[in-house]
Amino acid sequence: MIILASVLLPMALSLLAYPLAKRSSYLAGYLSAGALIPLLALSAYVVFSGNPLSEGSFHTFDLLAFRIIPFNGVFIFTVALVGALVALYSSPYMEHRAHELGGDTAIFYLTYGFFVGGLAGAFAAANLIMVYVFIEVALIASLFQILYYGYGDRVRITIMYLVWSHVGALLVLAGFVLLYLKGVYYVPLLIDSGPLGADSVAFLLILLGSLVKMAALGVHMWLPYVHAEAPTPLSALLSPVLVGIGGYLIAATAMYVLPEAGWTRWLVYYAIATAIYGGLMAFLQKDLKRLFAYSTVSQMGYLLLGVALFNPFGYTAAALLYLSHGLGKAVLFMTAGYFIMHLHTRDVEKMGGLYGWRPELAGAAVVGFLNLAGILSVGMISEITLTVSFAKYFGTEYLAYIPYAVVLLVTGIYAFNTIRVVFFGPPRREDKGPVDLALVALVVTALISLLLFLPPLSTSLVDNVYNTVVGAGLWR
Amino acid sequence: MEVVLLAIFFPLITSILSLFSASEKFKAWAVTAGTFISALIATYLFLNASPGLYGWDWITAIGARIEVRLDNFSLPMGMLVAWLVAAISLYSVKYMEGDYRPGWYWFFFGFFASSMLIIVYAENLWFLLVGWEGVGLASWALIGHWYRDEFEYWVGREERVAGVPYWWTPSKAGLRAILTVRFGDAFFLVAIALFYALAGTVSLTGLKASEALRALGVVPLLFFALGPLTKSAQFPFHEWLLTAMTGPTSVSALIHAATMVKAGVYVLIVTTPIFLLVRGAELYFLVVMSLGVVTALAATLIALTAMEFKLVLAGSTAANLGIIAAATGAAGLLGLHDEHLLSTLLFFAFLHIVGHAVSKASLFMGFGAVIHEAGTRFIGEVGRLWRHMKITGVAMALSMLSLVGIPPFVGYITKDLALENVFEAGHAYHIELLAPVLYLLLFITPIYGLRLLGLTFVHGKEAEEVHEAPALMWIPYTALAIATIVLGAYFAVAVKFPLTEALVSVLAGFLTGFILYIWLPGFRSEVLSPLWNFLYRRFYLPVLYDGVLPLLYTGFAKFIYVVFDKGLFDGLYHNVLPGAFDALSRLARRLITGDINIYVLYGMVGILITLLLLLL
Repeated sequence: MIILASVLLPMALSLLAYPLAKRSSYLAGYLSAGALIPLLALSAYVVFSGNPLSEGSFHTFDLLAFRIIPFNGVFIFTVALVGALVALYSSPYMEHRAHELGGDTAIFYLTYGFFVGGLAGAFAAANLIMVYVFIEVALIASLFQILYYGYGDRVRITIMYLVWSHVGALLVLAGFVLLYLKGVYYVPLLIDSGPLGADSVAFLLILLGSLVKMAALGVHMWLPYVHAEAPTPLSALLSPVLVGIGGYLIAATAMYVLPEAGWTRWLVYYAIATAIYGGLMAFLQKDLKRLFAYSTVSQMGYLLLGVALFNPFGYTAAALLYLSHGLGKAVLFMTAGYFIMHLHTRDVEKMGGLYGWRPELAGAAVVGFLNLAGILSVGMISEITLTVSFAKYFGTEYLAYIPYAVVLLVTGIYAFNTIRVVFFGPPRREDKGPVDLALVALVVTALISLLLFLPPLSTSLVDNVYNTVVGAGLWR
Repeated sequence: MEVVLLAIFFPLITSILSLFSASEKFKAWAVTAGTFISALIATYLFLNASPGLYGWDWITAIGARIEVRLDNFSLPMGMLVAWLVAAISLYSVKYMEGDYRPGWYWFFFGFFASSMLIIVYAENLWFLLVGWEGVGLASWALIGHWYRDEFEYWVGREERVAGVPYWWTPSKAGLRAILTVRFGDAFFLVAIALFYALAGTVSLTGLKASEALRALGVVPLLFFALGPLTKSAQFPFHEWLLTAMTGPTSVSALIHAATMVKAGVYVLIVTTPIFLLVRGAELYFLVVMSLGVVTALAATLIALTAMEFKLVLAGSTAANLGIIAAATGAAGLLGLHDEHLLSTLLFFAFLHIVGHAVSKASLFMGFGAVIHEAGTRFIGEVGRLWRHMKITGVAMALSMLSLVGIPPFVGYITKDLALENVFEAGHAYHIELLAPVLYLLLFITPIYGLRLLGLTFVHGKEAEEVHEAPALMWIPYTALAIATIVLGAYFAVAVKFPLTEALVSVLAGFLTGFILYIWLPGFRSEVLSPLWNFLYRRFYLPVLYDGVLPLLYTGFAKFIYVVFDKGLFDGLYHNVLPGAFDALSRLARRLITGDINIYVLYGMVGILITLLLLLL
C-alpha cells in the first residue's frame, strides 16, 4: 500500500491546503511540498539502490497494481522533486498572481496535489486503465489552474488545452483498450513482458496520442499557447514533466506492439525534425515563456529520439532526458516567473544586462540552459547516452550523424543567444532583484541538476536504469 | 598516485569555496592558493610519479571511468599548465582588483584550470570530454566577463563592412566562441560515441589495441578532429580566437598559453599514435597538416596588420597553433612509414606547445599591463613606452624575440623543431608548395613582432602619465620572459640546437622588421593598401560569420515560422478547423427555424429514412 499511499497523499493533503491557502500561500506551499516527500523518498530509493518496489497481486485485472523500477522511478523522482521545489516556488508567485487577479490562491493549492499526484500515479501504476485515470486526474487539475490563474485569453487557452490533451488521452485510451482485448492488462515494461507481437492499429493509436501529448512536430501547436499562458509554476511543471509522459507511454507500451523494426527509422527522422524545428522556433521568440515552450518541443524531440532508437541506451537516455530537461526547464520557467513577479515583463527585448540585477538568478538560468544543451550537468550524461544510442543504431552510416550534430548546434544557438540577450549587454536597471523563496527554490533546483552529474549519484542513477532496461523483455 | 586528482581539482575546490565569501580579496587569494598547490603537486608528480594508469569507475553503462594517464606527455604538460595558471592567477590578483564581477571571474578561473588539467591527464575519453566541455564553457564565461559591453573592452571600432558590424562586444565574442566550439564538439561527441558503440572502449590504451577501431575508417577520425580544430582555432574556425580579446588580458593569457586552445593541439598529439593504426589515417593527417599550415600563414598575416595590441598576439597564437597542428599531422604522416620515428616527432610538436606557452603568457600579461597603464587598446594611440616602463619593455622584448623564433630563445628552438617535421613530410609526400610557404611564414613572423615592439615601446606618440606596472604584475611576466632564455638554453643542450636553412628566412625577416619598424619607421605604400585592407579585415571572414550565416539562419527560421508554424499548423488547427466547425454549426442552426410545420416535415423524413434502412 505504500506506493498507493504516497501517490494519494498529495491529493489528500491538497484538501487541507485549500483552507490553509486562504490564510497564507506560504503555508499551503510548504504543505504541498511536504506532501511529496514520501514519493520522493520511494523513487529515490528505487533509482539509487536499484531495487524495485512492487505492490498489488497482478492477478487478472488488478487495478491497484503498482510497480516502481529504476526506469519509471526516474520519471517519478523527477515529478516529485520538481513538484516539491515548484510548490515552494509557487508561494510568492501565486500570492503575486492572486493579488493581480484580486482573489486568493486556494484553488491553485487545491488542484496542485491532484496534478502532481496524478502524474506520479500515471508513472507508478501498472494497470493500463489506471495509467489513463491518473493522467486524467492530472489533466483536469491543471485545467482548473489555467482557467483560474492563467494569462491572456485564458478561457480560450483552457479550451484549447482541454481539447488537445483529450484528443491525446483518448487516442492512448483506445490503444490501451485494444491491448486489453489481447489480454494485456499491465504496462508491459513494468511486468517484464516480452514483445507482444505486431499490432499496427494499437501501435499507431498510442503513438499518435502520445505524440500529441509530447507536442511533436505538427501536433505541437497547442503547447506554445498553453505553456506561455499558464500560471508560471504550472508551466514549470507542465513543460518538463507532463508532456514527457508521452515518451514514457511510447517506450513502455507502444514499442511492445511495434509492427516492424523499420518503422523506428521514420520515427527517428521525425524526432530529429522535431528537435530542430523546436530549436529554430525557440530562437525566434520574443516572449520568454513562449521561447521556453518551443524549447520544450525541441527537447521532446530528443526524448522521442531516445525512444525511437529502440535500444537500451536510447531508453536510458530517454529517462535521463526526462530528468535533465525536467530540472533544467523548471529552473528556466521559474526564472521567467521571477521576471514576471519583479520586472512585470516577459518580453526578451525589454531585458538585457540583468546579470547584475541578480547574479544568482543568472547563474541558475545558465545552469538551466546547460541542462538543455548537455553541458556539465545531468544533461551532459543524457546527451552522451543518447549519442551512444545513436551510434549503436546508425553504426557506420556516417551521413546520419550530420543532422544529429545540427540538433545539438541548434540547441546551443538558442540557449546561449538567450543568455546573452537576457543577462548580458548594457544594464538598464539600477536596482537589485529581491531574495525570496522563489529565488531560493530555483537556485536549489539548478544545484541539484549539477549534483546529479557527479559520482556516486550519476553512477548509480545511470547504471541502475541501464541495467533494468537492458534486462527488459522487450529485446528478447 | 591518486594525488593527481588533487592536482586536477584543487583549483576547482578553491573556486567553489570562493563563492561563499563576498570579499574580493578572499576570492582572489583562495583561488591563487589553489592554483599554486595544484602546481606544486603537478611538479611533485613530474619528478616522482611512475608512468601508468590510475582510475575509478564512473558510469559502467557507457564505459566512463575517471581515469588518469601519467606519461611523457601528461606529466610535463600538467606541470606546464599548472604553473602558467598559477602565474596568471597571481598576476590577476592585482590586474582584476576592483573589478565589478569578481565572483564570476574567480569561479571560472579555477574551473577553467581544473577543466584543462582534466584534459591533460585524462585517459578515458568521456572523462576528457568533461574537461573539454568545461574549458569551452569557462572560455565563454571569461571572454564575456565584462558583460556590460563597455567600449573599452571591444574588439574593433564602430564601423561596418558590407553592412556587417565590424566590432565585437564581450557578450558577442563569447557567443561566437561557444558556438564555434559547440559545432566542433557536436562532432567530437559523435566520434567518441562511435568509438564506444563500435569498438567498445573509450580509453586511449583500449582504443590503441582495438581492431574494431582500425576497421572504422577515416570518417570518425575527421569527426573527432573537428573538436580539436575548432578548439585550437584552426582555419576557418580561427575567428573566435581573435574576437576573444574582449576578455580581461589575464584571461587571454590563460586561454592562449595554458588552457583551451592548447587543449585542442594537445589532444591531437596524444591521439596520433592511436589513429596511426586506423585504415585510411593518411587522409586525416594530411587534413590536419594542411589546415595547420594554412592557419599559420593566414593568422600571421592577420597579426601583421592588426591595429590592436592584443589582436596581434591573438593572431600569433593562431599561427603557432597552426604550426603545432601541422607538426602533429606531419608526425603522423611520417609515422605511417616509420613508426619508430613517431614518438620523437610528436615530442617536437609537443615542445612547441611549451615554447609558445611560455612566451605568449608573458606577452599577454605584459601587454595587459601596457593597456592597463596607457588606457587604450589601439596600436598608435600610445608610444615610446620604453621611457616609462623599462622592466616591461625588456620583458616584452625578450618574450617577443622568443615568440617570433629568434635564436637562442626557446621559441626558436621549439618552432624550428616543429617545422622540421613539416618540411620532412613535404619532402616525403612530394608537396612542392609546402617549403616556399613555410619560408614565407618564417619571414613574416619576426616582422609583426618587431612592428608591435617598435610601435609600442620605441616610436610613436609620447605617452603621458604612464608608470611601470606594480610588482605583483611584472614579477610573473618577467619571470616567464627570463624563462624563455633559460628554457632555450636547456632545450638546446637537452634536445638539440637546430641549424637549418630556415634560419636564413627568419633572420631576413628580422632584418626587414628591424629596418621597417625600429630603425627607419614610417614606411607607407599606397600600392599595398588594398592588400593591407584585405588582411586588416581578416579576409572578410567576419562578413560570413557575423553577416551571412546569422542572416541565413534567422531567415530560414522565420520562413519556417511564417509558413509552417503560423500558416499551416496554427492556421489549420486554430483557425480553419474551428472555423469549419463554426460554419457547420451555423448551418445546423439554420435548420431550427421554430416553424412547427418544418419540424413535422423533418419528422416524416426521419421516419421514412428509418423505414427504408429497416427494409433494406
